[in-house]
Amino acid sequence: MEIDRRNFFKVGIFTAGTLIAPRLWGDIGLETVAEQPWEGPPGHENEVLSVCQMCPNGCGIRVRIYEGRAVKIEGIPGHPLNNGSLCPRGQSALQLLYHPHRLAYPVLNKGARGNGSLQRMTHEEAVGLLAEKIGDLVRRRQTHRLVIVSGSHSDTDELILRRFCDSVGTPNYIKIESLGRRSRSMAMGLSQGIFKPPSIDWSNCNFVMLFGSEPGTSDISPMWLLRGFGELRQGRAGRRAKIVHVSTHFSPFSSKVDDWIKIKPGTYGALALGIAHIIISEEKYDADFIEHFTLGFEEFKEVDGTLRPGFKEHVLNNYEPAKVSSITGVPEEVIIRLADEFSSNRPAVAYGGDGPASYSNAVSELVAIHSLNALIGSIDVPGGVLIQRDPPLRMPERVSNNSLFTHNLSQPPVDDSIRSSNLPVYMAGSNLPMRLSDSSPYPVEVLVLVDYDPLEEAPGPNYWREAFKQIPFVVSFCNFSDESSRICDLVIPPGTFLERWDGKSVDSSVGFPVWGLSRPVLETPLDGMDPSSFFMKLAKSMGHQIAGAFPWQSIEELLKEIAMDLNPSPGQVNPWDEIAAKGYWSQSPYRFGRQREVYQTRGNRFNFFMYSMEAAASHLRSAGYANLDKTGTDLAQSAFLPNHNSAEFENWDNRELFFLELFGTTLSGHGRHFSLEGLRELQELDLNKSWGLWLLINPRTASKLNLSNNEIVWVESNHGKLSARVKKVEGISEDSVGMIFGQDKGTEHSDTLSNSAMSLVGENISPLGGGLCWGTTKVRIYRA
Amino acid sequence: MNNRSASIAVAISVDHPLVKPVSTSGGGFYVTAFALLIVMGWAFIAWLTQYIRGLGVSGLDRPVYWGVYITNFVFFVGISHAGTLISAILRVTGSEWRRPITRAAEAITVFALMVGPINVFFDLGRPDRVLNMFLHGQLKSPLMWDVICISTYLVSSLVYLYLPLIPDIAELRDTGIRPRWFYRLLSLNWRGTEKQKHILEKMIRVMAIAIIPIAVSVHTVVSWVFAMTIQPMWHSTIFGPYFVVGAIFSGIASIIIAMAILRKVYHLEDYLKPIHFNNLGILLLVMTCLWVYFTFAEYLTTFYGGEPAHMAVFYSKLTGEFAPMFWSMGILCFIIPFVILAVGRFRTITGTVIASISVNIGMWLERYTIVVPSLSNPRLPISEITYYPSWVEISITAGCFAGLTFFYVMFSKIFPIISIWELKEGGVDVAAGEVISSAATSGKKRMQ
Amino acid sequence: MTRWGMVIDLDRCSGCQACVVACRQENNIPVVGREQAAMGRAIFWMQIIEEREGGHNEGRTRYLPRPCMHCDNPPCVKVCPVGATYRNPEGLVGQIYARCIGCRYCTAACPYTARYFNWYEPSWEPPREKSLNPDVYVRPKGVVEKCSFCVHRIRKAQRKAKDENREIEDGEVIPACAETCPSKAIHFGDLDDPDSEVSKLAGSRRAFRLEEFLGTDPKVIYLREGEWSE
Repeated sequence: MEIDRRNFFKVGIFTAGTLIAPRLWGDIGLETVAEQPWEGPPGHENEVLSVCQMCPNGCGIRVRIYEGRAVKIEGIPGHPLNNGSLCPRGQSALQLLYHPHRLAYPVLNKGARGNGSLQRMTHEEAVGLLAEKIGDLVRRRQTHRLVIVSGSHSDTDELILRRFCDSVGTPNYIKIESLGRRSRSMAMGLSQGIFKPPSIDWSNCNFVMLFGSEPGTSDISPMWLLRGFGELRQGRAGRRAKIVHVSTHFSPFSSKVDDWIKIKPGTYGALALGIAHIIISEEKYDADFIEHFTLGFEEFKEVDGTLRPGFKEHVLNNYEPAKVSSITGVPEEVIIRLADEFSSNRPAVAYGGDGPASYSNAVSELVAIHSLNALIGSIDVPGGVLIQRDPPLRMPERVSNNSLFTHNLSQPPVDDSIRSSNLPVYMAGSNLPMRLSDSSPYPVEVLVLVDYDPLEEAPGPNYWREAFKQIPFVVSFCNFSDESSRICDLVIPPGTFLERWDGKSVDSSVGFPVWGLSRPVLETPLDGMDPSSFFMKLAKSMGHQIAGAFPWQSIEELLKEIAMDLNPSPGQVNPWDEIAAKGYWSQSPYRFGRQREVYQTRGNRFNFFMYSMEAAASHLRSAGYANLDKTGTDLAQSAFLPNHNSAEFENWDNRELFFLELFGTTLSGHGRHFSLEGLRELQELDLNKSWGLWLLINPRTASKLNLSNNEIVWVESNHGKLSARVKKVEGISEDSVGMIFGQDKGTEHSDTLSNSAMSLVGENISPLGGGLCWGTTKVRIYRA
Repeated sequence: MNNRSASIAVAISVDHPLVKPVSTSGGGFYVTAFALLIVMGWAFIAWLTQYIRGLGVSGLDRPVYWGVYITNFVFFVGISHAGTLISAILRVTGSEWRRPITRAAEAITVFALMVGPINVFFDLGRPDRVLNMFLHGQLKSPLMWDVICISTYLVSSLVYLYLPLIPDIAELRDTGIRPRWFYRLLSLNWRGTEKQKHILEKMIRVMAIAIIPIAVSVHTVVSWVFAMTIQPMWHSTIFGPYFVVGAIFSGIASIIIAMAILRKVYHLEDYLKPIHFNNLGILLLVMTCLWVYFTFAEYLTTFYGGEPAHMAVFYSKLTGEFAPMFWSMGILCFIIPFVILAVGRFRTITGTVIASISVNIGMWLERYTIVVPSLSNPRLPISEITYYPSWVEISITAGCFAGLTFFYVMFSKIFPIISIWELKEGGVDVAAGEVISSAATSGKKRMQ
Repeated sequence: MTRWGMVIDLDRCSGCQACVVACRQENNIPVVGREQAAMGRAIFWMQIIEEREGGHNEGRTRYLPRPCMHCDNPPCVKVCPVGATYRNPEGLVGQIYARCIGCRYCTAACPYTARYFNWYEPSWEPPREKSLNPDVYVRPKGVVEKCSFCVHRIRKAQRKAKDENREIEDGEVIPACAETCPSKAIHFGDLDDPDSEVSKLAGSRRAFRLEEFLGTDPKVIYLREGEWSE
């Protein structure tokens, strides 16, 4: 072949041709290319209605089932609580259902805890084993030595477990409630006699003051608050409510509100009373409401002649703006502005959240905040504070105490709680682990944990480790091998809420009663037996007397009985089918103006002067609690009015300490399900990080301590220490550091160190409310 | 004319310094080749790992979707400009001193053009689907422009390298170097007749002219891959000429390095003389100034405009995360070469080689600081991710450099790296081994 | 002709991230794990992004849910060398996973960084795979993916309307993010229908679009936060 010009050009054209020919400019034949959605062979598809129990709130859900697999969860449209929507935790429930590390069967640990040989068994065998253990207690007449601690969100579990304890004869059914819930219930209880957190009619508010509360972060009505947030803003044409956010650190939510007020830790109540001072002195309060619906606004005399101080004089004398400003760090003019705006933009609502609930003065702070609502008449009115009404369920009658167990039932409960239906005193969960490890007042022989992992979720996990050592037989109902179950004798997987029958009344939110029906969404259930079924089976296997308390064949049958009186339409005999078809029962609208229902206090009025607090104080005093300063119960008459008592913090070290702000986000909640990978992979907004355990620190503090981002530091309190990564966040104040609930929970195992931030918190319980004060901790930060 | 054809007729002995590398191989060659093969083999293992496990084994992330592979691509394609473009310009302008260096330069082009684009292949998430580029190619994508321009450039560079090789291959055939059939086949029956020479010279001239716009187009479209997007500090109209200047800049530097090595290893001191390094050094100096001019224009415009998104990238280079690389680039691409090359007595062989090495490292950094910082600072969202290349990327990069060297060495072992017949044409009595180079003298005269 | 668009009301949005979780669940987005997430390789078709008002280094932070903008003038479609991403007549910017060669030119060209890459073969530890949505492809390693505006839900609604011999109604198509949004901040519909909710909201004085000056013509419209006036 000779090179000549012709050959050369041939080569050139060939090259260019092959490159250009395939596609010219433009969208050629794109519509012929397969579209994205996959049209496989049509499979069988249906929807099952149920109730979400990722938190105790009770949103209605519909689960999409495709060929027997649950593939997506949405809210039930029109459901009074969530109206078709779901929060991030609710959306993650399928990750729980199909979690690869779920325990498939009960496991008995033979030999030393933690490293003995494991024996696999069926649920029936586990029932038999537990029946044997408890049967032994029955024979020995020592049934009070059985303790059941339950963190289950299920109403049915609550019913069955309590009933089981009653029928077996133990006073030791202990319910672990969501953080902050108890204090918030107590505040409502002291002032209105309703021992439940307040419900707020968000969609009709014009002005909202959130004291340390962020929608979606706590376990109390996240959906209701999130929904309300949208409604307040753009839900009503031409009416846009103002949202004021008072908090100790500037969070992503703070950047969403209209007005953010920075406050010093533990001083929320002082600010509320300072605002009350202005409202009263400028006479902007609702005089009509105060006259008809409150007690103790003005000074008054009892029939017996005792002089009771009035809220008005109390506030005017003690909470002048200058003083409040110095306590809270909020400028006087801001206090005055808030008071003006709050009183002149009704309906307005003041709402206390996790922030105030975390300090040692939780209950009194929350009462002080709630008293603002009474001042301007925002209770039991549209756009104000409502009470959550219960559905008229036909609950089975309480087990009548048989002679066999009277003795055991009258034993003092192991958690030392004072249980009186009309006293707001509660000590549960407080020094429980210490008392368990001390074997006081008597040794416990069988401990049953239901959906509760104290080594991760409870403060001071080391007390629990001690307690475990003292108890011969510990059983844990949990789906995963968590910190606690690793050192248990028997682990029983209870399955998820998506695989069981349950009935659920909504938690404080909409006001009117709503009852949701939860049922198994899968045709073939996965492994696990829910605690209700398990304990019913256990009771039935324990002989006539105990078995007799459980006459139902199944939980479904029990629920049918409970729901008998829920008539969706008048005249209908059996409401079951209709509830089953709709997924829930509700009775709207909210009924206003029932004073006796709304105020179940003395005089059926809002108690500025709190009689039940006075009663509680004397009760506590007689029970031998000397140190009552923090509840104010030892003090003068004015102590039973809304007050600000300074919060106590653990100043355990002479070196520089920082307030530990342990808070929740919408993803973490209180950290319960934060181990789900799908949630952990999301970035927390101000962190901009996913996974890992992070310490939020102010950039100036960080540079003072010479710390940089991503660096690993020790966070040490007087209860423990753990390592976290530094993340500089502008919103955290310079004297604080922040951590998020449940970050890194259950991801790294160590026998000595718990990795949950809760392990830094001490057992600080307010005697009055009984709630855990998780904000009292102070920590030291140093390089690892 | 007669003289010249007469001199061609005389066959060169196998021991002649220009032919010796082809005819005999010493231990040094085998050691070098083996070492390079090991590096390439390691790179292949790295690539295999990436192919099997996925691009996750690289250090790439979101938002830094492009990293070292794309940097290599731009860099090697840049180097490729040296050769053919330079030799074409010198040929067209009739610079006589070009004669000993054109082939060495053209060979760099061809091999750099093979190594460069393969980096895009390494960068693909689905290398198995690479044929989609032809089955579903979209001409509106600048990446397709690259494919077309680069393949055209590669083919024409091959032709342009091959054409002037034909008489030399014939020479080797006549000398009897093995394998004879190979040289016989490639020599295309060259007998050095007037007609053949006429055709050959005409074709070389046509190619030399045609290849200049092709070469310019190549680096222009490479720059357009970036400039056609609307990303901060990529979307720039001067990217075309800026990249072309940078390409020629790094290309010349590569030629100088290659020549210095060849000179040393193959004892070509008689052919590659200080004058060549001096002349190329002057060219490099010109390019240094041009490059710094473009860089200054580019950054001043960005700074003066002060758009936030652009400024984020700007500051990440000048004062932020990429500052060490950016300022190293400034020193390596401007300060060092400028000082060496602007002063006549530093413009020695050693001096130009130091300047060239500095320029090539600097230009790689320049490519890197163009590719990565823009991606690290996207318009949305704010990113805190830092990109570090993984061992896979580093290995493959090392493999690329080894590959380029290996193929270049192999080429020099198969064909004379200095064009014998062109030297003869230039009036050098090659056979005698003496140098009466009119080219060299005329060059010197011009210098003075 | 239908032109699908989304309106996100930032005044309603609380930044709760329910949309992000719902999207991941609906669209079979794998969990990449701790190390990969730290490298920035987690995939979020819908993501809450920070935007600092007043430039990159100062000012107040604003949080925006960011799906794919489905630009009418998409910078990604132009640069794809193989036509693996395209804009269809309904204005949806789609991705053909089976054709994508993984060059990531589109990801580099997208000014919103809304496109994601599968660095490894995605995996679901059994029995995780049971919760996979049958309507959505699972993407292999080495290809680019992004928000599809839940095109499978659009097609389902269209098919249903066709079977019932009627036009598709406004509000009938709800992407997973919009469906779950607790504060109802996300609206979806036909921007070419002047009576649709999204059209009306898009005409609001609060409306703006991300990086509007780039001329990408995004079909995701944001409504900025309102002001409180007494």
